[in-house]
Amino acid sequence: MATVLVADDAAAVRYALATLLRSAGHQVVEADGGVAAVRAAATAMPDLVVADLHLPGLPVDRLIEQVKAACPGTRFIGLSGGGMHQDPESALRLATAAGADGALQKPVSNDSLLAEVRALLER
Amino acid sequence: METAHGAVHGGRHFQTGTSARDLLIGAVACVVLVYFFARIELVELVFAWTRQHEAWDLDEILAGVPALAVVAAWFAVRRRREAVQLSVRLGHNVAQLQEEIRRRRELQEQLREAYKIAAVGTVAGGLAHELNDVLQPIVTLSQLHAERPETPAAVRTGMRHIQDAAERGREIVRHSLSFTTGGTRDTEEVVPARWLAGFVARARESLAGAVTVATRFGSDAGSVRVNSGELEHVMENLLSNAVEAMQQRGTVTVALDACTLDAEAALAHGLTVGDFFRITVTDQGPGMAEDVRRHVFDPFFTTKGGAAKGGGDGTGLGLAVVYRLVRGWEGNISVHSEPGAGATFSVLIPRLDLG
Repeated sequence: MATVLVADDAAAVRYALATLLRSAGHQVVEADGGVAAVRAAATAMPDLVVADLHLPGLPVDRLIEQVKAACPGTRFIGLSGGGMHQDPESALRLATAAGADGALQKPVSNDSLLAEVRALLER
Repeated sequence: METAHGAVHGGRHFQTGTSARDLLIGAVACVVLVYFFARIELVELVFAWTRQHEAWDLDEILAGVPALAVVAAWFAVRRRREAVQLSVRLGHNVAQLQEEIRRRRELQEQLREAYKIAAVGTVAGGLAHELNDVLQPIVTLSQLHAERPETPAAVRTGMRHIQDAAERGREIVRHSLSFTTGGTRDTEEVVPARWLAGFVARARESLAGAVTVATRFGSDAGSVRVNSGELEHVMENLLSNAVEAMQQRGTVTVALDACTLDAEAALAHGLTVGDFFRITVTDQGPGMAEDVRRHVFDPFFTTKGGAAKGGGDGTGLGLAVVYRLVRGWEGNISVHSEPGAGATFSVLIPRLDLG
């Protein structure tokens, strides 16, 4: 089982994703913002990061870059809910272009998220 | 009509009424006729069998009576002809004006439609992010607890309901979001005739019921530039609406032809002048009343029940999304329907230049 960092500024989302990942047997650490996520990545050295693409404090490309610098070899899944000037698909394309290993659109179903997590951990 | 009236038609000024020229013609005709009638001794001819010629000294004066009658009749015929001509022209002008008013109303309606959809797009884009964040824990936790063996049965049922509701919420947000995505997707060259043949084959397979899908392809050459996923979405939506309108029985006709829009037709459709492919989907359902037809592309307008029925989701976004997608291809969609006479949805898509 792996260590997963869940980063989202919404506490309910964090709680839900962490509960799901724990129920799948993973160890979970949480962060509520971009800077906190980078710090948590450096200390917990997660195998995988599941993070919102619009975390306060850091734009997504900087977030991925810094997380990967703090914890080399970690995989990154970006979650996007879309936004005022961005549809979810282009947000996901952007995340992949910025170095994310996977990108999913919120609200993601449990099966899809766990399948993506499994696929990336096995890679 | 007693005084001079004028009507402008095609730049010409048309006038009726008694003019000085007419009076002059009448007077001359009167004198000539009096002279002529006197010459042929008209009164004598007429009254010869009752009166003596010598008894009459006022031949000329009496001859004036039928002469005046002839002139008056000429005036009457002429005035009547003018009146008829004028009313025909006026009628023509009125019809033209009515047509112009109708066209302007249509344009105004389209403009209002576009504004409304743009407004919804802006709101939807802003809301989607927030709502997706709200939905995430609901989706995750309801599914998680519904599937846990230790969850009591009653709670599990509740969780499943929450899960269904969240799923529906997710569907609504996903549809709303497509209002903000116009034109951002990759497009490819699609040959409508070939693509539609494939689509109809797939549809026949999946319908496999009492509904027959007939085709009428009048054009098979040429292509359009669209996102084929969006095209699939549009056609699926139109087909499932048609099937539902017919209550799962009857014939849906999918037709394709090529057409050219002139300046007026292009304006009416909010498009540019040029060559288009027209895909129509016609059902044999009960048709639509005027007030339904006018709102059929409005976001959140639905005639379906709240719960999902048949192929439709009843969110009131199906056709609004279709409208948005078709506009994104620089095309247009319109509907023709009357109560009791089925409905025809026509999708116009710009045809790529030949060669």
